[in-house]
Amino acid sequence: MNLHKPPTPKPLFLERMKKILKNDYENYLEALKEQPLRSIRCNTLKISPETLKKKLEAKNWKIKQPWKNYPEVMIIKGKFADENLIGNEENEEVDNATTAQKINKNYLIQNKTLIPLEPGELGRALEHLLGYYYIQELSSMLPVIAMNPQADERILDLCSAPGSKTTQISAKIKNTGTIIANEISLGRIKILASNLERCGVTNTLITKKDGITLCKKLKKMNFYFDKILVDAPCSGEGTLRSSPKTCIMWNIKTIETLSKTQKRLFESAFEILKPNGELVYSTCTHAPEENEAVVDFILKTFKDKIKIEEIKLPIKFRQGITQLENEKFNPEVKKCARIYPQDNNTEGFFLAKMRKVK
Amino acid sequence: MTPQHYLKILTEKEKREIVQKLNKQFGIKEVPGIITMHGKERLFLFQGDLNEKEIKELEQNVPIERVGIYFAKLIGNEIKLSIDGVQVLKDQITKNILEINEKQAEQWMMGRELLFDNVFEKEDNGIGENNLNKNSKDKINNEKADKKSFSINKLNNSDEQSEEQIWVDEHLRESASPTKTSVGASWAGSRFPGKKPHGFVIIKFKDDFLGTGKASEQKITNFIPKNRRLKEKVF
Repeated sequence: MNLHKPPTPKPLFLERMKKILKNDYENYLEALKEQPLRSIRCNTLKISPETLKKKLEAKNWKIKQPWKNYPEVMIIKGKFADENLIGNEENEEVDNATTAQKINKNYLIQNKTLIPLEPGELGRALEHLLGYYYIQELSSMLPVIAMNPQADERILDLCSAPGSKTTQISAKIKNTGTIIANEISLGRIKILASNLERCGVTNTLITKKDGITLCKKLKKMNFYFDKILVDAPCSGEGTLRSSPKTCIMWNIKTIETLSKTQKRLFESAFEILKPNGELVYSTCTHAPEENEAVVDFILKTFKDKIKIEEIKLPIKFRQGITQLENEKFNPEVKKCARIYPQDNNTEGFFLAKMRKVK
Repeated sequence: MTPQHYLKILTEKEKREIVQKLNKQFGIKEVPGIITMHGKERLFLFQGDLNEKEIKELEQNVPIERVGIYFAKLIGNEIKLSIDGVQVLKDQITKNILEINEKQAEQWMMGRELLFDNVFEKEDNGIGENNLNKNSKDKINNEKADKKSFSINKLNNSDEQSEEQIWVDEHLRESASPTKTSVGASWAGSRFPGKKPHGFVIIKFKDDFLGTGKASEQKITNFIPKNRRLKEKVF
């Protein structure tokens, strides 16, 4: 197990997680101590997963493709140190090998010592600079997998920066259709634009507006979408391992404020969905106020116009929770997906997929 | 407040002129999609399925920051493709490709200029070697051994491509300047002596297209943006 200094969450946060996770709480705490995996997504607009894998392996990186149906998803397990070939005294197994074994290339490869990549090494690599891959946490790839965008669709990514999911959508639909990538912050738009360029995303328009106003304006224009992603701004409880400062910033009042914003974003976005169109709502937090409570609100608001869809994901996930303190949610929220660090060694995430039925 | 409209979508005629320039310089025959212009020189390429009218209508209602990606810049009568523009259009590029070797690619991606220096001829005449340190000489010898790997045929990505259109690297010499790398020019020993690259050239290393440089008498100017440069040696 790869341990690192665990973050120190606030007591109220831990108390809440204990209520949500019950018997699994201790496993969750243990998972927080583990180093996050280093994962990338091959940018299939520029290179095939097979070719990228070869290029990265030529750099002595050890690559694992964890999901059979998604070969573009890769985990960088580390890199082989060159000096760990035959004769390394520290590697007893290699030294004790027979001569025949030593000249067997596979044997050598298997016995080379794996060392972690240096900090920033993934981002500095030539293949990254050329846009052959995007550094993206595994759970962050799930909303687009759940969305399953198709060629020629019109898609809105309402809270788009820094562009991980926009570039993923574009790669999936091979630069066809149109994506509107919206972001309110100019600073973040620069990062978004830079990532879209690096990845060769040519089917996207970037708009700068708060999500709620944008949706109203688009509705006024009768501009509707086949699919919408609302990857909402959230309290980030799921990112404690990679972003320990979240522990410091965590605040129950912020969660309440965010929940209101998320409801309005979701509600506005749903209005500009085409009939039979689909909306994926996601956050990187575990807080039910920002997740199931938002979905429950939407179900109440749109009643028979909306249906929650079952989600298929390549990793283990748990169903949505139906109660927060004394508040009971629509039992349909069970169809939402909760992703916990202890289940797949990923960051925490939440996903819901809705269809406009009328 | 009235939305600010600044988006200029090129007309068919204007687009044709851009494609003609691209064809003349790089052999590019078509640029699918809508080209927009920001300012007087920056060109953006959008290949989504919204048409011109829909984009204009959208712009009248919401602030559009970008339409597609920055792919080229007009500079006088010439056009410079951005590193991403090169990659988007790479399958069509048949002219003015300069293939560089591994060491040069590294230097190029670090943002350094490549210096033309007719070392090949000087060295054959026994001139110039005295100016090189031992490491540089070793590198030259190593490069000589690699020469055959840079064959012209290997570079062709079009049947129409002629040898004149490609300059094959044959030599490398470390420059005294930490920000420049010398590049031996292929024309020195090629069938087309005197055919120096001039103007914008596409830089290529193996299968990777590394953007555009501008060749002058002595060097190839580097346009790799800072945020896309290698911070350290990788090869």
